[in-house]
Amino acid sequence: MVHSPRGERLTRSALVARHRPGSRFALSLRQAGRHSPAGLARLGVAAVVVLLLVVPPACFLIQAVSPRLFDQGASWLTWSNVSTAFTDGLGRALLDSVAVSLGAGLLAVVCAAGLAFISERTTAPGRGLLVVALWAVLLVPSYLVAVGWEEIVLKSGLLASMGLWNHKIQQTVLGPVGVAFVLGFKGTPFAYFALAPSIGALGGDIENSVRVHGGGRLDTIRVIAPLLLPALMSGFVIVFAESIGDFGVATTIAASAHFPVATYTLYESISTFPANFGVAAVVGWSLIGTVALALVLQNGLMRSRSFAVVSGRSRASAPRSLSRTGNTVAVGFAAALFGASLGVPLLGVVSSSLLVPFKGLHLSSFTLSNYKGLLGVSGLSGPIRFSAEIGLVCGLATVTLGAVLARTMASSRKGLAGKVLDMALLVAVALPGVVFAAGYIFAYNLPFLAHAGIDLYGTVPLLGMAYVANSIPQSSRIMLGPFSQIHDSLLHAARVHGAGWARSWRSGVLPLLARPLLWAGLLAFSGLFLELPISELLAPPGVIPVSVAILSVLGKANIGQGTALSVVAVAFTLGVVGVCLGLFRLIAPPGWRHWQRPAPSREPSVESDAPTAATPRSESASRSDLVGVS
Amino acid sequence: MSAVEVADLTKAFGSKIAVDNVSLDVAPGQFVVLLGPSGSGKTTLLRCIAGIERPTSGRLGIGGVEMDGPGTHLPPEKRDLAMVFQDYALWPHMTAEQNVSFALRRRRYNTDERRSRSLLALAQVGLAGLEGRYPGQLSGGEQQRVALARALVAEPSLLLFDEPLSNLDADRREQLRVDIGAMVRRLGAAAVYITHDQAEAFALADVVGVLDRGRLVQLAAPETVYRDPASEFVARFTGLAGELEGVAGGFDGSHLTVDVSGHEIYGRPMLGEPPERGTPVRVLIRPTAAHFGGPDSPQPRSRNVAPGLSLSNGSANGSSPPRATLDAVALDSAFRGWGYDHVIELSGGRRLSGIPHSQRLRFESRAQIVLSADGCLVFPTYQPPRRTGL
Repeated sequence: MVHSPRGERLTRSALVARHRPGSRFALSLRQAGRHSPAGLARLGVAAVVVLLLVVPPACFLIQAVSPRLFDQGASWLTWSNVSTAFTDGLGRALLDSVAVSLGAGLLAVVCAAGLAFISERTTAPGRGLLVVALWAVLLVPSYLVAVGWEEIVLKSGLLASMGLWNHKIQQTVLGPVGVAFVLGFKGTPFAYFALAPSIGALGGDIENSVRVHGGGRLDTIRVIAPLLLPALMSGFVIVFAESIGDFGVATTIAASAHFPVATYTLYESISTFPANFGVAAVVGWSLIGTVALALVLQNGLMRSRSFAVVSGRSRASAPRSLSRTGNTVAVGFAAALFGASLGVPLLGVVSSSLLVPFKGLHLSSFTLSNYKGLLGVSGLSGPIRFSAEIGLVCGLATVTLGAVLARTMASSRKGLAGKVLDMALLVAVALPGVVFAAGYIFAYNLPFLAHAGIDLYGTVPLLGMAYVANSIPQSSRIMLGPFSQIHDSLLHAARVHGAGWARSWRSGVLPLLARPLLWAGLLAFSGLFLELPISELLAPPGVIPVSVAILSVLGKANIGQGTALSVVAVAFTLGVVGVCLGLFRLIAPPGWRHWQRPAPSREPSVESDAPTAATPRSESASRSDLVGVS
Repeated sequence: MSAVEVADLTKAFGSKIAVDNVSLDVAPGQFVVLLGPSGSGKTTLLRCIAGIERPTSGRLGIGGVEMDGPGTHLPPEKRDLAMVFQDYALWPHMTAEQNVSFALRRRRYNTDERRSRSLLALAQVGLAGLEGRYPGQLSGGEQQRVALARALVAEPSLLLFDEPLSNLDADRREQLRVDIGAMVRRLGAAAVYITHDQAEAFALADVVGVLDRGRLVQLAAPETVYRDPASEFVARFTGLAGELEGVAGGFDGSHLTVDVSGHEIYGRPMLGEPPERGTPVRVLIRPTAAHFGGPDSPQPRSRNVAPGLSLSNGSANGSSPPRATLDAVALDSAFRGWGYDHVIELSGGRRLSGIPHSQRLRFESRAQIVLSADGCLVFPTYQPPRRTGL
């Protein structure tokens, strides 16, 4: 006998009589008409994302062919902006961008493959430090790496102080080769995180099966290399896309070497007076189109072939012990790579901030005057404070919204809203920051918004919105992996055993996501603290973010003070990261930190079978999840 | 008052109907096993009972209180039940004890009592001393025991099991099956347990419900399901040695003669009235109905059937059921410890498997197969759509 909550007694026949199911068609109609609260929430999230991520760039990009749509010209449909853009040198800039990005992609993939092999397949010393170093490369913005190299090779730089300055070296570094190398080094972490799990997970059985069937080492490589193709391709495409959309190197090395690239062309179109949004939009389209082309090519290569090498039964091969020479080569390779991507440029920046120019390399040529000067120069401590505050607020907003989006996308039943979201975020990942910034400038400067009382143009909130919108795609992708790996059953188990919705999340799931959320937050904060293109284009008058301040001081030829500010900014970022990680170690309950640890050796217990597939994922998998690459 | 009462429950995902108009009663203390292949809707039905899924239509009551109905849906935490998940669903950041004591929070015990009850529950499942371990530091079997302790510790009136043994190896599966059966019965709770393993279902269940494409096609005691399957699907899913096509012959009131390629065999007509003479029929043969003929051959045994199932029910008039003997060729033999299971081929190429013999028969050696009428289930080849529920 069933009772309703109101105590009504309902017999079986009464139940059946009261509710007779209709046809299947009627059933689906009922379903379609009923929206669950979760479905409505997903729809709401999708709407926010579309408004934040899609509408501003779309309003801007449509200007390429339809300036009249937003009263920016006379034509509803015109190709004049396209022809103007190409007449103004877009073709050359685009070719340059593609060329250096191809070079950067190749370099990054080769470097990353080497590092991944060392970390995943060998017992070379210092493997644990590789990931830390890669995160450091990831945290330092490209314009600082570029400035660091400039400060090494310029006539007033470190090489000159050491008496080693050479015109050819300067020409090589401050030219297309240097641009490609800096972008390649900067992209190496992305390629590594795409490659390492695959290299680590290539089952030992695959190698063994080649060997037992008579294959030598060369045959093994021949068999394994094609299996790595998806990882190689995705690593390459990620770096290519990052490089095409890069603004930091474009505005430093490329600009001072008069080597035009597409992002800088876009910047020039909207930063000169009068701003030409139509031409800028054409450049934006060309950037997006190039990345899209790379993705299409990647999909074409992957189509109709199976590269699945990881299954529940896969057995990873044991790391190989290297000989002394092998260890030396491995350590040397990693040291050279990180030296070029981080060590040398940081040395350049630090030396430039500490050395008096053209005085050689003596004890007397070292000075702290640039750092002292920072305190004295009006407004230079302000940027650090402003960027820290907005980085904190926007970083928290990014992680919160990014987590909601990651959860929505990871949900097994994401529905139409989830699919729209997925697509919007994928497109947004490919959108360079400079296009985002241009979109926000254009969209929030439209007269009808001001008439409607939405007057955000030239305000800090708009800068914050653009920061969040630009960071969300990356942040949500970073968290997508960890969120995807959380089985719904953990939530269901908590609900079934008496916990409400909020406590199920708080007790059952969030502790497992604490570390990825922390890393995503730190990455968002670091990225926003040192962010360049949006800051450059959207910072309201009187507000100077750190990156703008650095480039502004450097632009005034006050190199020492600019590099000193860079050093302080980077040190501040690393300090915040270090403090947060330290606090996590100190404050987080043991279970939050130790649940991924393997079983300790113990006496045989009731059962002695090894931990099963239900045990947590491997270290390398978690690392790849952290950057959202699988 | 039923522990669980499900009335005309349907659950659809978009246009796909996962559970189709299922009705089901579970009495207090009753152990119901829902059996079906993957995709049959058993997990969805269980999740509807748990409150994880919201039914599209129909009603569901637990302990006499309506949980789901038009305009009503109580969330899982309000249903006062416990569940053991297929993937264990242990929180990896909590120790075994913390996992177990989580389920006690709704019981409003103080910390000491929660701890002592959790430790007792862990001891009962054989995990004393491992309470400080995290799930990642336990074996698969140990993890599932923690999940079992978590489900039992709060002594709920309803326990749900979602294929809890499917991730374990054979030894552990059997151990844990016995423990689950004993502990649930000791607790006196009603249980709904889903599995795709008929042996597991027959061993545990008071009542077996067989699901096929979202429909509950039979709900009965294990013996009934085995002896009188409601459909060919149920018969196949609960274990067959093989199938033969034939033509219905005479009916003697309890057994039907079937002509199979010129050989006469006997069987029990299913689905009510025996088919008319000359009607095409299909004979589904239980493994217990087939054995080798000849002086050295063993008699049919209760292999592959859970303890307690009696299969030699004899014919309606009390005499031994009629038997038929067919010529066969041995194709394969598998050592099973007690003897050998054989696959044989009858004339016409039809195969029967799982035929026992104490000796290994050589490949392609000739033999005689005896088919006992009680285990030969005769279905008409054409069956009108039929729904067998409660």
